[in-house]
Amino acid sequence: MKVRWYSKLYLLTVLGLILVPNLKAQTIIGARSIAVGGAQTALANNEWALFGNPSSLYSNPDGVAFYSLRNYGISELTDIAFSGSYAIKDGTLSAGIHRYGDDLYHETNIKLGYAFEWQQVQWGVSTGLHVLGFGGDYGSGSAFTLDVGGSIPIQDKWVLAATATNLFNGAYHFEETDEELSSAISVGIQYSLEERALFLFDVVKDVQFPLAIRAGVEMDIVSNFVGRVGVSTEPYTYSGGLGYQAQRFSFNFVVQHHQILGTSPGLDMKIYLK
Amino acid sequence: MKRRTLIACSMIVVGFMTPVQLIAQQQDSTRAKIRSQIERSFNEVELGEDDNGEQLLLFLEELAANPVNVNSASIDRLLQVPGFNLKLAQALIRYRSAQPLEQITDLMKVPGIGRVTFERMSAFVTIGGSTERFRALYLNPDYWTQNLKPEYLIRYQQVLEEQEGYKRTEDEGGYIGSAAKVYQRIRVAGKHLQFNMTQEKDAGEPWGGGLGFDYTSAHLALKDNGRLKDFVIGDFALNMGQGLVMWNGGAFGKGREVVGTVGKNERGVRGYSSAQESGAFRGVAFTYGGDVELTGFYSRRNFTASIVGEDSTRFPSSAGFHRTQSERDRRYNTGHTLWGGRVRAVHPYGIFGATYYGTRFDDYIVKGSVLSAQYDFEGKTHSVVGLDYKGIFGQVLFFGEVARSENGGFGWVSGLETSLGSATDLSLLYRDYAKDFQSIYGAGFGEQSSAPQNEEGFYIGLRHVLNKKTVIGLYADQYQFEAPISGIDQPSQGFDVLADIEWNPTQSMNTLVLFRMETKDKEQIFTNNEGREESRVYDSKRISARIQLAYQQIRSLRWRTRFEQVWVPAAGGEEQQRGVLLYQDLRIQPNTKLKIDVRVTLFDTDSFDARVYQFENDLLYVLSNKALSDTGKRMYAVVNYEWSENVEFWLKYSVTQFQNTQVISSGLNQIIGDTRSDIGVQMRLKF
Repeated sequence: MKVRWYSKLYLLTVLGLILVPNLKAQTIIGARSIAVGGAQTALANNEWALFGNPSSLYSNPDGVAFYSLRNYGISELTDIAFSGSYAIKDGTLSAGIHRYGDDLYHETNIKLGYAFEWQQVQWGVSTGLHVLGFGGDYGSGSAFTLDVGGSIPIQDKWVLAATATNLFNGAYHFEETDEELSSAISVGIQYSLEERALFLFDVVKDVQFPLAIRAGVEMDIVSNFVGRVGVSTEPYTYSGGLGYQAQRFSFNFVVQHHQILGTSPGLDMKIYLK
Repeated sequence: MKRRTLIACSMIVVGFMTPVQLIAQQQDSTRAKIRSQIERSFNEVELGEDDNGEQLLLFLEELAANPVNVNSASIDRLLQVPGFNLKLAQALIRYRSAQPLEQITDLMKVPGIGRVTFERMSAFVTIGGSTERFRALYLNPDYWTQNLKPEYLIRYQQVLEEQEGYKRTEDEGGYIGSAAKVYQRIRVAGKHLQFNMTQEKDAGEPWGGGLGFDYTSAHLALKDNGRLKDFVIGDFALNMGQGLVMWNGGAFGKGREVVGTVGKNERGVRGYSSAQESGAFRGVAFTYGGDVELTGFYSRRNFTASIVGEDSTRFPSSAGFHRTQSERDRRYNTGHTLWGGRVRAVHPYGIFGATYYGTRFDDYIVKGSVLSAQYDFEGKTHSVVGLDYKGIFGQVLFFGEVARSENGGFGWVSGLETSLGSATDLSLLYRDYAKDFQSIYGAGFGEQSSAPQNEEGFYIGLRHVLNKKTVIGLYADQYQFEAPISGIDQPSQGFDVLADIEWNPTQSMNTLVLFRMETKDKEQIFTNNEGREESRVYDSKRISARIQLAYQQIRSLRWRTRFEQVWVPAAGGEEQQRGVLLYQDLRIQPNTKLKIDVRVTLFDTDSFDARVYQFENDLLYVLSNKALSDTGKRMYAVVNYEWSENVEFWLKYSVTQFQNTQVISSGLNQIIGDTRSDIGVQMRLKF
């Protein structure tokens, strides 16, 4: 049993050294978002907007959603998330939880968000409690973050959007060091072509990483079925996926390929409450 | 007559009925236009801590507060308005001689004035009112108090982190005073009369001097009183000809405004209102005349300069800081006297002028010991004389100036502006400032921000209106320095090119794509095979590309996103360096009284050479063009609240967090840590 425990720790340490720069930048949640190359800033009706651009929550129908992605096929590097959104009088409330890793190394992010419309613009704000934990007695750290976002629909075809995440540079506090969390600005455009296709384009700058470009397309294939493809830089990935939209639920599947690290399959599902 | 009376009565009624909201909107629009004008002109100019362009900003604010009457203004007054050149001014005078302008948009009926030009000038012009006929009644108190607006402004700014200068004691060379930077200004300005007093205590300076402030500047000015066009007693600025002889208080240079800024439109004698301490002359100045006018000036004031010997100093410093004991020991330790004049004639073929000044320093001025200073002024007395012209030949506006300094050095500049068809404007300018041309108060067009000296160059600017939605701008500037300049000990040269496309797909959307490439000689010191140090010159390039998108569908919200990338290719043994900037900016105006500007910027540069710039909103009359280098995040919020018609507040809070450094800045301004935050509050009282 001990051998297995240390083997896993060793494996995770090696993987961590290789992957952390890439994983830290990989903060995209949702099969649909990943399938369009991560170009989610201006993506409308995004079930996982709580973890992206909180202003996009505004147009979301009430419901609960589940998501999972196995990064590079390694079970220890699995993302799992659960969220729910509910429309209230002047806006939309949302809460969610995201967990990455396993018992030996895991990051948990509990988020609460609110979106509303003011002056023909959708605004969103979300706050997150991030907890970083290590197996054994290696300790843990926590941090609060605040994200803000805005989306402007323009002439029914365009959406212009921007997000600033971790506005006040929240960081995990350990005994002697601070581990900074991702802090970024992303700006994005969505163009709708006769309601049959969405073109998405994002520019993202994380304070710790080079500027990234993300782009993707979502197209109707047959009734209720959509196909998606996307590419991103920093890290260089390409991705594709399928989505099925029913009256009471939606289902999305994605495969993302990282040039060096390999392929990650993922899926999500949303059940509508109304 | 009856019709005029009816129109006047209607205007009065409409005036009373005009909602306060509309007035507020106009004021805001005017400020936005002034900011836009400044931003276009200071595109990539790095401003020093004390070189804040305030005088230029004040000039535009004053112009907006007292707009030029396009139905009656002289050619000189018209030329002070951004967007006007001699050709357009003459076209307007021809137009209005046939029919007066009944509304401000009639300006677009004047040949040569399109929508773009109109937008630039609209904040600074008016069609006038019935009060014009009282102009001659100098003895009538109403004449002097016409449009007289008292204003009081007080501002407090501070860096919140403790800087090295405040940790050290006075004996250790630390700052003597507090970290507070305090500024106040009292101003009573009308159409014909103006009084101003500006006071400032810089951060680190102790309280003392006039009313506790380290620096005080004041003036009383008479304006537009018949043939006495300007009279100033106190602190004044002089802007003459093309600036080769005399131009203090700020000037537009190379920037996105590729056409219309290379030829200077002189502002003559102006009251000086800025806190930029070394910029003012102190004494009396006037301009008198009609088509032929005479300007005279006399100034006597003290400056702060580094001491070289018992009776000798360096040239007075432009910083104006008196914070440490060493700086305070030098405070206003030398004086100088300036006198001179100008004759200018307006002729149907153009405007011709001659300018002269002489100056005498109390101490012998010793030039610097570095190679780049070898041709600088040295001595106790100096004089410069120049001739300038501006005229129209056919469709072409010509301008130029030639000047000679007392030591025999020459400088000259000559240029033209013309239209190439209905949609294209062209500017050309050639300048040749000899290495020994010592124009110590000049500010001619050029690559160097210092006085016109040691530079030869040719500039070409082109603006083309592609269609109603698209304007293309382009400039190229080639220059060379015959003698060493700062940082390079041998002759050098450079090339600068800028191209931009401004596209307005809808009335609410504005997009900009800008490309700029600067190529300059730099010097590399290396050790040769024999072990001796040698230098060689290499081409250093800096390439920047910018994409900007602004969207404002409703007045209460403006959305602006900018992305900029800078490349400094590998050269001279240095590796390639890159810089990137991404910002999201929002302007929110929930009502006519409250305006909030917020911006989040992420920047990431490999070095200072790959720095990125951003022009920021700031407190009123504060110009902020930040150079950002290293890696980090900058955020700021500016809140402007108009509590009543008489009281207005501003608040700015900014914070810059660096990623890879624990030491910010250097010397006495050094901060230990990765964060620098600044706060500024300001109040203005208007009556």
